[in-house]
Amino acid sequence: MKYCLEGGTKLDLGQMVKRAKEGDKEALLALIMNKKDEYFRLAYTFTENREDAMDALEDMIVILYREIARLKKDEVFYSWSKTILVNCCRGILRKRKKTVVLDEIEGEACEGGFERHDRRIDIMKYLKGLNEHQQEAIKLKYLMDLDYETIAKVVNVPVGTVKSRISTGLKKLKQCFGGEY
Amino acid sequence: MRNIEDELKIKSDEIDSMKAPLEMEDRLRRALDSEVMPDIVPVKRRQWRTGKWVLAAAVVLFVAFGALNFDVLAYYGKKIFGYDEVTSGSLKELNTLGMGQEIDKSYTFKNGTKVTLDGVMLDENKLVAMYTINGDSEEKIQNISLNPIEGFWGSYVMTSGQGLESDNKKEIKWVQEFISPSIFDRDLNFTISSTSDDVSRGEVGRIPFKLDMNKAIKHVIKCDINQTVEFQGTKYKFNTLSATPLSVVVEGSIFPGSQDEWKIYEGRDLLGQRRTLDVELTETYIQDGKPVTEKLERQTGGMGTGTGGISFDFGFDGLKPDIQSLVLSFVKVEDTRMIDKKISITPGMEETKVVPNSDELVIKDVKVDGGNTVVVFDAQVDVAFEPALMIGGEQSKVLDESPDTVSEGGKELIQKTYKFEGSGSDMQLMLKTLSREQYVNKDITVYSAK
Repeated sequence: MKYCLEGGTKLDLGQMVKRAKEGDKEALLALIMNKKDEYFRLAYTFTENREDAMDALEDMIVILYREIARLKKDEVFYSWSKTILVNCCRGILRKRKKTVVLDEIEGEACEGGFERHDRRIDIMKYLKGLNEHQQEAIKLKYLMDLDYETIAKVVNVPVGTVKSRISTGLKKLKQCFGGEY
Repeated sequence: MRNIEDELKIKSDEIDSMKAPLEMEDRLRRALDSEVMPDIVPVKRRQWRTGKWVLAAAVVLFVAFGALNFDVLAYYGKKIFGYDEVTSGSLKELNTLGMGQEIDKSYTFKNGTKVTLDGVMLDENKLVAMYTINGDSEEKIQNISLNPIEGFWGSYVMTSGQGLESDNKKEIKWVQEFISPSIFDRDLNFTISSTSDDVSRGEVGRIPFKLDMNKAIKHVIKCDINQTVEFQGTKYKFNTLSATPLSVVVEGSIFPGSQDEWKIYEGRDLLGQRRTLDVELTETYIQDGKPVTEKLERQTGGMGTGTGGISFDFGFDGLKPDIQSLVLSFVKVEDTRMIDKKISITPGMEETKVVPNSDELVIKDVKVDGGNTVVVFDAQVDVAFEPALMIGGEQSKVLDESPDTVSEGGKELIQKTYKFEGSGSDMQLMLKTLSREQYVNKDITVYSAK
């Protein structure tokens, strides 16, 4: 069965998750496509690359299909699937060795004399100066506009940990850019 | 002057304006299309001789009916013809005995591909559908996908199945199992859809059929097991058993002893491991006046999370007549993770750890012997793995596999020697998964006639 959700059709989440749990691939696909931009942006924010983002989304949907029968509460489908997407992105980043060593970036990013007053800085480059957890938390909070509770669910840590990662990360970024930043 | 938050806001707006690529839906659908439901057996391409079924079936029917004598075989129905080579075990025996319900109804897709629901067989544990797909080409018959059976009270998902393609690749016969429908659902729809890239793409076909509950195969044993096995802090409770001549299902629950254990069952632990249980069922029955003891073939297995714990079920082949006892053996738990390693190998290469910084599995030696490639692995005693060797891009056949126990630095290791057919300059070892096995070895007598 194909589910047509274009044109703002409201999705019956419970019904669709139930069908997806029963093995209906089109129902699962419809659930994802209903929030396709959100999923793509999330994957892109992590991978910073369109092709890697698509690979992560493909990995995610295969895992969702295999695992959805284990989902306890249908209403948490979206946060659960985004957690899996984040894990897929992490896997792709690890596999493609895109993680940049902190020291290298700190050295590069913190040298004085950025042209920051004159033109836009590449914030993504400087985010790489933070550890993986801090980067994730800051990206989800400031780039994806997620609240602390949602971030905690997606990265599977307590809310307090999320707040601490964001606060430490921001502090480090500010130190890196100098007092005015 | 902008601050950090401003810079992040600019980036956020940039990301916010991004749209999912147009091809996203197609790519995700393709990724899903390559997936099959867990436990589904892929299509086997075997030689299949047509035209001899009727005679063979008549002979087997005569012999087998005398051999099997269940009280539950009160109904004498129709054999669903053409499935001797697709079925096995008790399903085959029962079909031979005519325990199926003939349906013989079809749906034809716009591209001419025809699906015929030949018959079904039902017991308390499952519904077995036997159906045939006919089409102009192999691609068309393989592009028919099966959906859950639809009823008024619910839809019933498939659990396992296998198919057999004809020599000319224009016909395929499938035997597909579904969860047993609600007893209130008599009128059902067998539902299929086309994924062919032609006029029929996305077309959904429904074949309505009626279940005759009088023809359902009744249970021989139905009991509560209520036995708990505690292993490494986790409780495994075996709850119920439902056994018919067609199938046996054991159901139970798992109560993990820690959050880390929970994560393994939910596939959320750091290594991405998934746990499976290895459970066997052994029956003793009387044949020709003598007791015979045999293991029942495991057919399905599943786990799901629910309130208060994790539920599991195992499906086995059906019982033989004159059953004397049934013993359930909880053999082991196995944690499996994806490692997806491709390692280039050459004869005489240095020892190589399959997983960096881990001694779980080490390639000790590679050599060529009589034109074939021999690879020696040292594995920690609880590690299980299955290597494949690609030579010039083609998978090589495993000619021999021999395990041995060795001791290194006071530690016992399993040394496995694989002999692969052929050799070459471009050789890659592929290892998809790595498992760790922990033996439980606990027996529970679930039924005894005495």
